[in-house]
Amino acid sequence: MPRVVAVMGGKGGVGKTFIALNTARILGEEGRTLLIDADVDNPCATHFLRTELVWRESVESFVPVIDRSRCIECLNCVNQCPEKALFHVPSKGVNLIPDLCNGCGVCKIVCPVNAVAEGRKVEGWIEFYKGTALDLLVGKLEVGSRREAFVIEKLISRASRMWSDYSYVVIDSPPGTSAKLYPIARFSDSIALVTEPTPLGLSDLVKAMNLVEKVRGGSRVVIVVNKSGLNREVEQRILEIARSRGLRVFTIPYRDTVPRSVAGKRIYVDIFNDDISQTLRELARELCKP
Amino acid sequence: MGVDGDAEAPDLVLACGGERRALREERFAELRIATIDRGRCTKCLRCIDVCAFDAIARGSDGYPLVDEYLCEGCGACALVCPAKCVSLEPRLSGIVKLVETGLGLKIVSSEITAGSRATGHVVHKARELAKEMNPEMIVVDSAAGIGCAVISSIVGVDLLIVVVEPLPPSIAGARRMIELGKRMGLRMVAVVNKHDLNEEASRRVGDELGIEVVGYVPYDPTVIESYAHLQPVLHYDPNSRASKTLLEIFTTLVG
Ligand code: SF4
Ligand code: SF4
Repeated sequence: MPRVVAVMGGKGGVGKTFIALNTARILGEEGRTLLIDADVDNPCATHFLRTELVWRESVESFVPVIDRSRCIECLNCVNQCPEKALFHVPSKGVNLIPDLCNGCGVCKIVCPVNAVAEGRKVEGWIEFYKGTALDLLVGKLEVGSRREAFVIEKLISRASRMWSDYSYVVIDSPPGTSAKLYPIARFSDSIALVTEPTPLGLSDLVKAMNLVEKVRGGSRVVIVVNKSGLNREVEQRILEIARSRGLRVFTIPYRDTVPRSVAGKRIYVDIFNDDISQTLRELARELCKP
Repeated sequence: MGVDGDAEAPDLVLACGGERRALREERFAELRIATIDRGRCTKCLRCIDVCAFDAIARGSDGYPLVDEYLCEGCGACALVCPAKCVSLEPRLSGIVKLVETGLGLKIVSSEITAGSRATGHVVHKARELAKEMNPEMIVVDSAAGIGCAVISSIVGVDLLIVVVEPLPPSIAGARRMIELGKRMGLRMVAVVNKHDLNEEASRRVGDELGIEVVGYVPYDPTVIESYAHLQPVLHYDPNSRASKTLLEIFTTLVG
C-alpha cells in the first residue's frame, strides 16, 4: 500500500496545486509516485508535467429511458423522483430533465410495469498519463454536469485499484468544504491544509479543519501557510490555532519566484534551490512519515 | 445587492467589511439521510444492492451501515426494504443569511454545513432570498469551476462576467466556463485580471475565448492589501490602478 497524501484547503487560489506538484515531484525521487488531479472542475496538472496520455475512461451514471409502449402513465415515477427530474405531458408521456437527474434509480424501482429501462449519462472522465518519474491520474467533470462529488468518488476508487504500483500517491484536491472532499480525506494517510494569511484564508482554513476532523480523525494533518508575510496579525492567529490543535506549520514566504514558476509552467524544485525548496522538501518528508 | 455563491467557502461578507448585523437568516434541512432501525432490520441487505451511490455497506455485525457523506437521501433503500425499517431523517444542509456589512452593503451569504452535499441547493436559496428583496441589481460572486455551485450561481443571469488570468490553466478553465455558459444560453463578456503577468497572452485572450474582453485589470498589490483590511479595493484605495480600471469596466457595463 502506498502512502497517500492529500493537499486540501477550503479556499481557492491559495496554492494547493503548487504544493501538490512539488510534493509529488520530491516524492517521485524516492519511489514511484502517482499524482491525482482531483480538481475535476478545472484540472490543470497536465500543464506542468511532461506526460503522455495512456488511457481515458468515462464516468457514467444511470438515467432512466422510459419505454412508452409499456408505460401506463401511472406517474409513480414522476411523483416519487426525489430530484423532480421527471415530468408528464399528456400527449408526450413521461419526460426527463437530464441535468436534474442524479441517477438514484427510484423511478425504476417504483414503476409497476417495468417501463423504465437503463440509460447511461456521462458525468466526467478519468485520464491516465504516464511520465518518467511521475504518473498522473486526472478527473474531469463533463461540462454541464453538477456531479463533481460523484466524479471524484469514482476517480479515487479507480485510483485505489492502481495503488499496488506506487510507493506514494499525492492528491491535489479541489477547493471547498462539501461532501466532494470526503472520498479524498477518507483515503488519505496525511493531509496538508494550505492557506494564506488573509482573513478570508483564515476563515476558510477553520472550515477545512473542521471538515477534516469530522470525516477523518486518524490522519496526520499539517498546515501550510503560503504567501507568508502578507498579514502578520492574521498569520499569528493561524499559528495559534495550529498550536492549540497540535498541528505542525510550514511557511512559504510571499515571493515572486513562486508565481514565476507557475507562470512558466514549471515545478518550483526543478528550477530553484533556495529556502522555499528546502521547506517543500521538509514538508514532503513530514507528509510521508509513517 | 450581492450574493455569495461560494457556499463552500463564503468570503464576500468578510471582504466587504464583515457582518454588522444579520437582517434575516434561514436554515435548510432539505437533504435527508437514510437511517436504519436495527430493531426491525432482518439483514437482507437489499438496500446495499439498490443504492446507486455505494453509500451502504455491510458492517462487521452483519447490519447495513449508512455512510452519511455518500448518502443522497433518494430513498431507494426505503422503497426496497421488505421490513420497512429505513426512514429518511432530515439533516441541516446549510444557512442562507441576509447581512448588512461593516461598509453598509447588503449581501446574501450562503454557507453549507461542512461535509454536506447541498451546495447547489443552498446557492439557489440565496439567490431566491436576494430576489425577494427586489433590489435594482443582483451581483452573484460565483465559486470557481463549473460544478453544481457554479451552475446554481449563473443559471438565468442577464450577464456572465468571466474573470481570467493570462495563464494557461486559467485560460483552460475559462474555456470550460464559456462552454457551460453557451449551453445555458448566457450573454458573456471577459475581464482579464493581472494582464501584465503576460501582456502577449492577455492580448490573445479575446480571440482564444471567442467572447468580448471588456477590460484589463493590472496586477496591483493594493488588491491583496485591501483583502487584509476587509474592504473592496474600490473603497480601500479608489485611486489605485486596479480601482480605476474596475470603475471604467463597470461604467461601460452598466452605462
Ligand atoms: S434516477 Fe432518480 S433522479 Fe433520475 S429520474 Fe429516476 S428517480 Fe429521478
Ligand atoms: S412509473 Fe412506469 S408506468 Fe408509471 S408513469 Fe413512470 S414509467 Fe410510466
